[in-house]
Amino acid sequence: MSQDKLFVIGIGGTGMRCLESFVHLCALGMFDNKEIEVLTLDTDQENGNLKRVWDLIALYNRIKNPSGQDIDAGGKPSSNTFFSAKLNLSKFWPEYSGGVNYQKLSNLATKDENTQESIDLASLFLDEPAQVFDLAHGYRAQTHLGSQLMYHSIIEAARNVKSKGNAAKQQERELMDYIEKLGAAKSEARIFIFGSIFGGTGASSIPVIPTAFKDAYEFTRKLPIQAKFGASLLTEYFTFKAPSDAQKKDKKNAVVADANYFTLNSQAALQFYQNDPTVKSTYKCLYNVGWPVGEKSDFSKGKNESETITGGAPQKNPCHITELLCAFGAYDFFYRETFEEKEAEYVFRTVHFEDNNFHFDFADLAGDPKSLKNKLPGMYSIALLTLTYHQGADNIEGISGWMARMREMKYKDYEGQIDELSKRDLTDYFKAFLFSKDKAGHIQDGWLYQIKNSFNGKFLLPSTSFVRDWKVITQVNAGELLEDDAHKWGKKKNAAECANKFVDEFINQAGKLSNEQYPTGSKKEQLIAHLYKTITELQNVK
Amino acid sequence: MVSTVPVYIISAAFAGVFLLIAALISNAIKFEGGANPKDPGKRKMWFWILAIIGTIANLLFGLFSYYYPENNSYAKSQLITAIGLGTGICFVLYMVFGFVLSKVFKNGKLGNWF
Repeated sequence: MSQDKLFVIGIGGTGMRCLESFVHLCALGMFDNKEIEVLTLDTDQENGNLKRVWDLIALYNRIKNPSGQDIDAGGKPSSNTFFSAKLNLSKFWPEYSGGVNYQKLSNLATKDENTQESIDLASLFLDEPAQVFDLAHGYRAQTHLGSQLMYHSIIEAARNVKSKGNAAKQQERELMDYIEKLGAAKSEARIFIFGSIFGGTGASSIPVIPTAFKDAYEFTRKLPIQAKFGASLLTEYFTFKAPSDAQKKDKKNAVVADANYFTLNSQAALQFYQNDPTVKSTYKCLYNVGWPVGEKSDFSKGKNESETITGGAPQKNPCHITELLCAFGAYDFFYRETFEEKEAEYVFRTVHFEDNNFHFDFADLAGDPKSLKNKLPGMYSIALLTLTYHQGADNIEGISGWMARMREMKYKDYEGQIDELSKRDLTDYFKAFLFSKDKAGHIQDGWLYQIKNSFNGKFLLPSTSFVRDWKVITQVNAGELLEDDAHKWGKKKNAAECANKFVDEFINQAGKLSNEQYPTGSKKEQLIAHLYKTITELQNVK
Repeated sequence: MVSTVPVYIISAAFAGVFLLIAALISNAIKFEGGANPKDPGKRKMWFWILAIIGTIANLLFGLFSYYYPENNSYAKSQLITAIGLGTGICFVLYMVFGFVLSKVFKNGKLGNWF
């Protein structure tokens, strides 16, 4: 990987789920020795997907942090371990609370001699419903309005920070700190943007972010931003309940994102990205990710919605394979050695599809699949054994089970060294990664389960690895996940024998870790690196 | 004159057989997951139960196979000494080899004995 400084931005609900996949890739250890600046950008602070990714990054940073206490200081970048990248989270949202709409924001709500000209001008581009809907839930697929407002909010933040300093709003300062870091890294910065191009906030923001950031930085520093920009162009892949006539009659809610238009939106957006000279000159790489076949995911399925959900806490949709592909777009962008000089490069890849079924292999996601082939099944195995055999899914944590097993084997390096919060955090991460159990004993899909269940077909691991029946889950062999016999370390073994073999190897690997694997020297970081080293040796993916 | 050598050989054999039984039982006890697994305690318990049973069985075997069938009182006194010593040897051998096995296989199920 190049030594460039890395930045990612998640925009809107879809962008947050892409970011979620990206964070899970970081947890797998796909970005060794990297410190990554993460920015979440959403108009809707209450958005369920936004909160979920904030929680995930906070959990990541607590795990990464040597003490497990201070979530803002997530340890140091490391290599050949899980959670190897250091993530720094910044949050920005335009302030649209309190019934703010375009007219109020632009001081066009009152007609008088001074405003008439502006009102007429605005009306040329925006019809009345677009000017009066409540912006609290984002731009509602009104990208012509959204682009203008997002650009405005970024420049406004730059202006406020410059004039007010520390008195400016927290989110404005965080945005400008982020842009400062981007500018300071000069041409050694790479920034990747996640968002859909068929919805509202993401579709509105992707075209204007490079320009807005450059203008904001020039406004404060009088210097240009030289970073390389990349983005995913994610077209329609989900649908949801169409707005009812009653919902449309409400003046403040008359503008609602209608899933029936997503195909049209996607088509128009792709034409724009193909032809727009500003986009072509500001972006280095654009990753086309689409869903051209089969049924789309229905985000309203199984929910009792009386009307279209426009945003807020209820907008907490499951992750989708396309979002993971976007995360791998970022992976490719960050690992890329060369870029086109003059114009943006449009990148795409196809996946084997037959009889209405996909067949995803490791090579379909990462160019060089070895790293992923080791890390993803490795994390899966450890998470599975922790949640099932060591009862983490039923209890508050499952790490003590590993400790007990080590103790039985007379290995006490970690005895009393890992605090309860850290054990709980690691178990919580495994639940977020794989699955959890609710009070009724039903399986709740974690990230990887959600990804697999978003399409029909094969996804990297045996199909039995994604069942929802608890009894069947407990019989999944954590040591037989990869097809090749050379990588099966638990052949014909049950969970207990696998766990035992794992700890056996764990003890064998004691003292064989390098400083790069746990640079802070903390026991928790050492334990995570030790788990990684053990599973790497067992799986033997070289 | 009676030979006490077989008594000692039998005692050593008892130690070996019961150690083998303890090892088989320990391996038959499945690993348990979670923070408070009960399997190590079970293996340890069976190891000590078999130590006691083996020692008593060795004593009874000596008494019924050698001591009671013998009519000569001098031989009897020699045998009772040998059976007593043999029982002690049986217990000591069981413990010593049990300890050695436990340390050799300290990461395995036998490691739970000590």
